[in-house]
Amino acid sequence: MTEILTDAWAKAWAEALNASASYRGVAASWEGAVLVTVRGDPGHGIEERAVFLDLWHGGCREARAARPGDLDAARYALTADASTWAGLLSGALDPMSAVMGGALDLTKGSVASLFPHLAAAKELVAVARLLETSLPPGWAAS
Amino acid sequence: MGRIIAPPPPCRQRTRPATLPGVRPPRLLRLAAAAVLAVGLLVHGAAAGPGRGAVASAAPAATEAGLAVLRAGGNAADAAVATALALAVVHPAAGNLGGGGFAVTRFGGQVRTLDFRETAPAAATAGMFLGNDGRPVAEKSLVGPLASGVPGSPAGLFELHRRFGRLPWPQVVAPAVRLASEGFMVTPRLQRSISEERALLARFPETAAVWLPEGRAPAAGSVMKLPRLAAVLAAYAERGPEALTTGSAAAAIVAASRRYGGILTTGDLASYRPLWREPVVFTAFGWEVASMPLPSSGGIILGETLGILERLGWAKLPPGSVERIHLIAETWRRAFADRFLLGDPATTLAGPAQLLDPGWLAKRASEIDGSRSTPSVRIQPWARPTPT
Repeated sequence: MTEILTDAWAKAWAEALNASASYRGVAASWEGAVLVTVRGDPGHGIEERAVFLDLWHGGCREARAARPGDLDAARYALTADASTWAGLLSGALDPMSAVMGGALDLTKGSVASLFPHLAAAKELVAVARLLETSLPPGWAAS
Repeated sequence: MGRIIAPPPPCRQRTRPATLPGVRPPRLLRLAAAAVLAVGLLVHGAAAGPGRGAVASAAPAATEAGLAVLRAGGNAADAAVATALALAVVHPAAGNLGGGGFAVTRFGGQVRTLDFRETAPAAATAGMFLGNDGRPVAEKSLVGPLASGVPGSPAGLFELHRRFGRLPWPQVVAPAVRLASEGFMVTPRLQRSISEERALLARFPETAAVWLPEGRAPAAGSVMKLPRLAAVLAAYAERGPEALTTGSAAAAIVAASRRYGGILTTGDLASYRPLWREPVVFTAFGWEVASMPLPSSGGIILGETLGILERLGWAKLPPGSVERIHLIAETWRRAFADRFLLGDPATTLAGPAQLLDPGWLAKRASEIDGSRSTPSVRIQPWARPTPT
C-alpha cells in the first residue's frame, strides 16, 4: 500500500501507466505534464500535497512529488479536495462529472485543450484506481 | 438547468446573415429566412461545403462557430447545431442546453421539421401555476424550476445531427467547448441583459455565482469563462444526450429543481424524445413557404399574416409608406388575436386548417379598413362556426 499523492505513489502510478497498453493506445497524442493537487484542509488535518507527472505520447517520462515551479511547467493542473480524490480513486466519482459539478477544478489548462484527450484523461484515472492506495488520517473523515 | 428566468422575446435585434463567398440563397430559403426569426433554426441542405453557406444568429461568436464548421466541410445541419451550442455559451438569455427549439430543414429537396421544444414534466398538473385562491400566480410559470419544462435541446440537437450531419459529433460540439473553456468576450448586449435581470439572477446562488461575479454583471469587453459548462459540453460531445439526461448530471439537475420547488424527475429527463413533424406549407406572393408547424405558432401566424396582406394588395403600396405599415399593424392584430388558440397539436383549439383557410383569410382581410384602426373590442379570434 502506498500513501496517496506521495513521491512513491507517483512513481507507482507512472510504472502502471507505462505498463498499460490501453493507456498507451488512447494517450498516443498526449504531450504535456500534469500537476495533481489535493487542497489543504487544516480542520481535518489534511495538508496540501501534489504530484507531478510528465506525460508524453502514451507514456510517463517522470513522476514524483511536486516541487516549486512545477505549476509553471505543467500543461494541466487538477485540484480537488481530499474527499473528491478519494471518490475518484474508489470509482464512486466519474472524472467528467466531478469537473461538471465543480468538485474537480482544472486550475491550469482548459477543457478545450483537454477535449481531444478526454479518453486519455479518463484512462489516467482508471490506471490510478488499480494502485494499492492508502489514505492518510483525516481523508476519510473530510 | 432549465430556464431560471423567462427569456426576452426572440430576435428583437435584427440579424444579418454572415455568408461565405459565392452564396446566393435559393428561393425557398430566402422566404423561409423570414420564418427563422420565429423558429430559431433553419437548416438548408444545399448550403453545404467549403465556399457555400450562410449563418445567422443572435451573437457574432456563435455565428463564427457555425461558419467555422462549414469551412471544415460540415453541412447546414452541422453548422446549425454548432451555432446553437455556441449560443448556449455566449447567449444565455435565449440559447441553452436546458431549453428546447425547433428546426426547419431541407435536404434533398424535402422539407422536414424537428420539434425539440420542452415538454411538461410527468408530474405537471393543470393547477400547478395557481395560488391557494385558485388564481394564476404569474411568477410560478415564469421564474425558477417549476417554470421549466423537460429540456429538449440535448436530444434534439443530437437528433438533428444524427439524421443529417456530416462531421463527427465531437467536432460539431468543439466550438462551444472552446468558447466556454477558453472564454468569450462579453458583448454590450449580454452585459445589458444580465444587468436587467440582476435581481432575478441574484435570487439563486447557482445563477448568481455564474452570471454575477463580484455581485454584478461582467463588464462589456471583458472575457468570460464557463469551465463547468465546458465540462458539460465535453461530456455531451463524448456521450451524446445521455451525458446530461442520465447519471450524475441528471441527478444534479433534478436535485437543483427540487431545491427550488421544481417537479422534474430523472425519468422525465431520460424519456424525452424529439419529434419529426410535417411542415406547415402555404403560398403567398408567388412563393411557396415551408415553416414550423404546431406546437410552434410562428409558421401558422406567418402564413396568416402573408395571406391577409396578399389579399389587401400590400405589395403594391410604396415601401415604408404609412399605408403599408398600417396594414401590417392591422393584420398582426388579427393574427395575434388568433394566436392564443394555438398550442400543443394534441390539444390545440385551432390549426392551419382553420387559420390558413382561404375563406378565413378573405374574411380577415375584409375586416381591415385601410384608413383607420379597428377598435380592439371588434377583433375577435377565430371561432368554430355554430352548426345551423
